[in-house]
Amino acid sequence: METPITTLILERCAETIEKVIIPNLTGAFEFENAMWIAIILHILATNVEENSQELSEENEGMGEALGQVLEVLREEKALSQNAVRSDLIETLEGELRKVEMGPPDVSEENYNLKGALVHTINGLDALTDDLPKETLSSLRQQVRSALRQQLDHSVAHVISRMGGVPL
Amino acid sequence: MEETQDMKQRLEAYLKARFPQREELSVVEIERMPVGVSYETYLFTASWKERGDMASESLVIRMEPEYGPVPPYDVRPQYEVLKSVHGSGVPVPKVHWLEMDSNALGRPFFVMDKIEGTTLTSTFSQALEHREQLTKDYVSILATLHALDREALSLSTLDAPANERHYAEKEIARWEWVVADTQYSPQPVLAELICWLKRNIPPAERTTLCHGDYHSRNFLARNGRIVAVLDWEMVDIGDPISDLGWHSMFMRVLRESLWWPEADFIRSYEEMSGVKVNEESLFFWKILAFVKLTAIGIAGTKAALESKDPDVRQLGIWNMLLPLLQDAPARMLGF
Repeated sequence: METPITTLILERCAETIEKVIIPNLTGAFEFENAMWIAIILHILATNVEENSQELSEENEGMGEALGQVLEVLREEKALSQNAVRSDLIETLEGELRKVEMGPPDVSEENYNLKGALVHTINGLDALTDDLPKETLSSLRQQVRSALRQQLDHSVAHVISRMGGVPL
Repeated sequence: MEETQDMKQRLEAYLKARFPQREELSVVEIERMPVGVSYETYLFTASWKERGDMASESLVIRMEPEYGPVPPYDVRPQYEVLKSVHGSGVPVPKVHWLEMDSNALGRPFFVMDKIEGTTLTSTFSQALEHREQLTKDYVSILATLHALDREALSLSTLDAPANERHYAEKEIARWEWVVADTQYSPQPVLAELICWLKRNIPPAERTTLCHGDYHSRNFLARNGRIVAVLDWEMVDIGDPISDLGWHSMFMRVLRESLWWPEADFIRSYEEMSGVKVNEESLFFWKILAFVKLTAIGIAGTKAALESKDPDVRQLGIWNMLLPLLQDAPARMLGF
């Protein structure tokens, strides 16, 4: 795949700042600002290049985790009167239905699924004393796998550009 | 630079009104300092005529930002603490006055002495022969701060925690609110970390004055000794291990733990304070420190995008750090 034009433009802007502007600055405040603009542009340029594929992968990971949670919650008949469970099932059914229908924008889907994931994390936390320990642990593991996937993507952007290592 | 010029004019008018006895008063120089990402810091020099002779004075203004990463803003606690702590063995700049009237310079601020020195971060890396003494000073000051009699300080702007978990609960609630209030998109990693924090609050064994932002960039050193602890905007009364957790987190962020291992720092603190550090509490406060700095980063991003201030440092810093700040505690918790 060819490098997107937006990436090229952002990289060029960063180079201009680094090679033309920064060497001619004398004030510390101006120098730091110029340096950070260049860094921002480098990072954004990478995001433009890799975003779509990564977001699709993340969406798949979140979809799987949320689907697992939904399936288990539906089977927990003992909690049929539990309001948190009912609310969570309703939210997850709604979000996963949207995924099945295929929203036009992968970013929008990512945003929505992350919102559902937050809701699920808080919902599972509220159900800590109601769900069997093993079930809860297994669901948390699913959720955390999806979170790890997102962290790996976002950390890779920074590491590849900044030449650093994780904290 | 237009903004600095405007600031110069406003400051001159303000000082003339505040010190009418100073004849021909003028602000001869004003510079915005590239330090910190929250409060705005200005160094200025004013000159005037006094009994026929010219006099001058260089001071520092610390002003609430228009939009900042550590909301909600209230300049009063740090002013009050600096005033109370001065002369107690914790080196801080002498404060001169507090101005709460936003009509003066746009937002509330206080004025303090300018302290000559370089940041501890740069001294650490450039003056290797001073490292041992500086690290001793650094730990000793923290132990001294935590040993201050907070009752005797009579701090009216800070509330003591109601119980042994109250401070941690308050901190979690604050940063959770900051994230909810400033996020551009849902934050599932933070949600998971915050759930863990709420379920694992350790009881505080002591309640002391806590700096809230104790790390090497908030110090000035001169001739191989620490001469000032700065940036008290997150000062509070709470569990002192929170300062240790914040320090440990920041050492990792600044990569200083490569040459100053956390274990050495904790051992020195225990020796100087005479207090054994609870490892479980320290672990909790380290996770909270990462969450706190992430929340500040999210708020900082929003502040930078909404502010008219052309300072883009925050966007750069947070764009780079936010993924790493969430990755580290996730790994500590096993995911």
